[in-house]
Amino acid sequence: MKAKRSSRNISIALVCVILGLALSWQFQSIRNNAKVMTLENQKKDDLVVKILNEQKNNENLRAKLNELQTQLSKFENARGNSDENLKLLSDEIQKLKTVAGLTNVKGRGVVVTFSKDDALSVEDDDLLFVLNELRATDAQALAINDQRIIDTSEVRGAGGYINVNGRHVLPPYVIKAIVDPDDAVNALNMVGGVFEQIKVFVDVSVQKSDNVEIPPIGEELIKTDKLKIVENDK
Amino acid sequence: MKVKDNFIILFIIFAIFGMLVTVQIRSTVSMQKQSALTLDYNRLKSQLDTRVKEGEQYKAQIAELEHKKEDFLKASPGTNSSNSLKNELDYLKFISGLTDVTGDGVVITLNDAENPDPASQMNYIIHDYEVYGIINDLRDAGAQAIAINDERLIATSEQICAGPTIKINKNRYAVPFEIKAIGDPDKLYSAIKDSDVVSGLIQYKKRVTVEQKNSIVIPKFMNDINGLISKLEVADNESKKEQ
Repeated sequence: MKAKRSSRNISIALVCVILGLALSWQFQSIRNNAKVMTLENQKKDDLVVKILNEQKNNENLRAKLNELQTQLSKFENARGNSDENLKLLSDEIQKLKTVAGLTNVKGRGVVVTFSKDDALSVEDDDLLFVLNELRATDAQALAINDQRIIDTSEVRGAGGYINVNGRHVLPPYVIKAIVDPDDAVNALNMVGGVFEQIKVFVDVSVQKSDNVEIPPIGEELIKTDKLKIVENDK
Repeated sequence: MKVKDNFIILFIIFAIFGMLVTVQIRSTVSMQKQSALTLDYNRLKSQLDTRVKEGEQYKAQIAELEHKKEDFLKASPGTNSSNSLKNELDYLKFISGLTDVTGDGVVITLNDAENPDPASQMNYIIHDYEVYGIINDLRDAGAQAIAINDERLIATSEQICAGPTIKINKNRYAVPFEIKAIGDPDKLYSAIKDSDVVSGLIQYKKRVTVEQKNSIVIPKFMNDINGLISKLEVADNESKKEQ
């Protein structure tokens, strides 16, 4: 009777041990699975972002391709006609001059004015902040106090004045932009946006205008002595 | 008494068994879900590949068309006046960022901090204002051509936060960012190395490297040119006089 009872106890204990082992193994495997799953999910999200990026970039490329195709068909039509050819060439030059910022341009846009009373509190970052927001709203021409902004233009605070294109710019600081005026005003006034952050220190305002005029960059300010054109063999 | 004892022990064992079975089933179900996810992942990956290939195709087509256009423009009769026009065209393309350029300068890489503290994650990622702060420092130090992730910066190039990415020339890029600048390598290097922006980045353990390099190649601006000037009206004839 006693022997029977102890053998039963032993077998129950054995079953319990096996159960315990199985249980812990099971838990571990599940936890592992969960970790792998979140990792996979993360990777998936990353991929989705990348795909969307590529999609957007491809759209931009397609627009460029279309532009080139229409241009080329124009050239195709002008083939053999030297007058027409010269005209296309000078049109292209005129266009590139505007791209390079060498022409005086006007159009609809906005004028952002930093109050003169707060001039000493205006930092270069504030001006950069506004410029960047206007660029993001597709501004096509920009100037700070009539210094045209080009690809190499810096904005550097120096106390009582700010340097733009290596030239002193004196307060009041005024940024002019040729840009969709409604878009620009909305973007600047966005809650938590540019104006809200700048207005803590400096009074700044924006006016829409139908006739913003932006002067050209001085050609002597374009420096290219460190650059060499890469010749493509293609 | 003995019978009751047995009963309790068996009950507990069966209860544990029951639990094991449920857990097993749940785990199996989640495993199946996971394999579905992997399938999804592979599908997304192949989608990404096709997109990238598509983009490369577009780029190749654009290069070809641009070459054709160049030929057309250059094909006009070789009179002196048209030759000088062609030279002017080349020069304008050069200063407008429409040619690939090479020269000495610096290469900067920016990346988010490793293992950020999740509670204050915003402190550990690269922000748009840090990127354009560095760009401004480079310009101040006389950089003559700048690109971020091979996206050439022109006068109207934005560098603006768009969710987890930064938009540059309307294209989106995620970290890491590689900024290339051509100019005086020593000036550029010291301007960036000692800048407030970079010391701020280092303070939060964001990953920054600055290196001087020779013969950096910076590609041309790739977007649609007409989109840059569609709203601009040339205001006077001052610049036309030269022609």
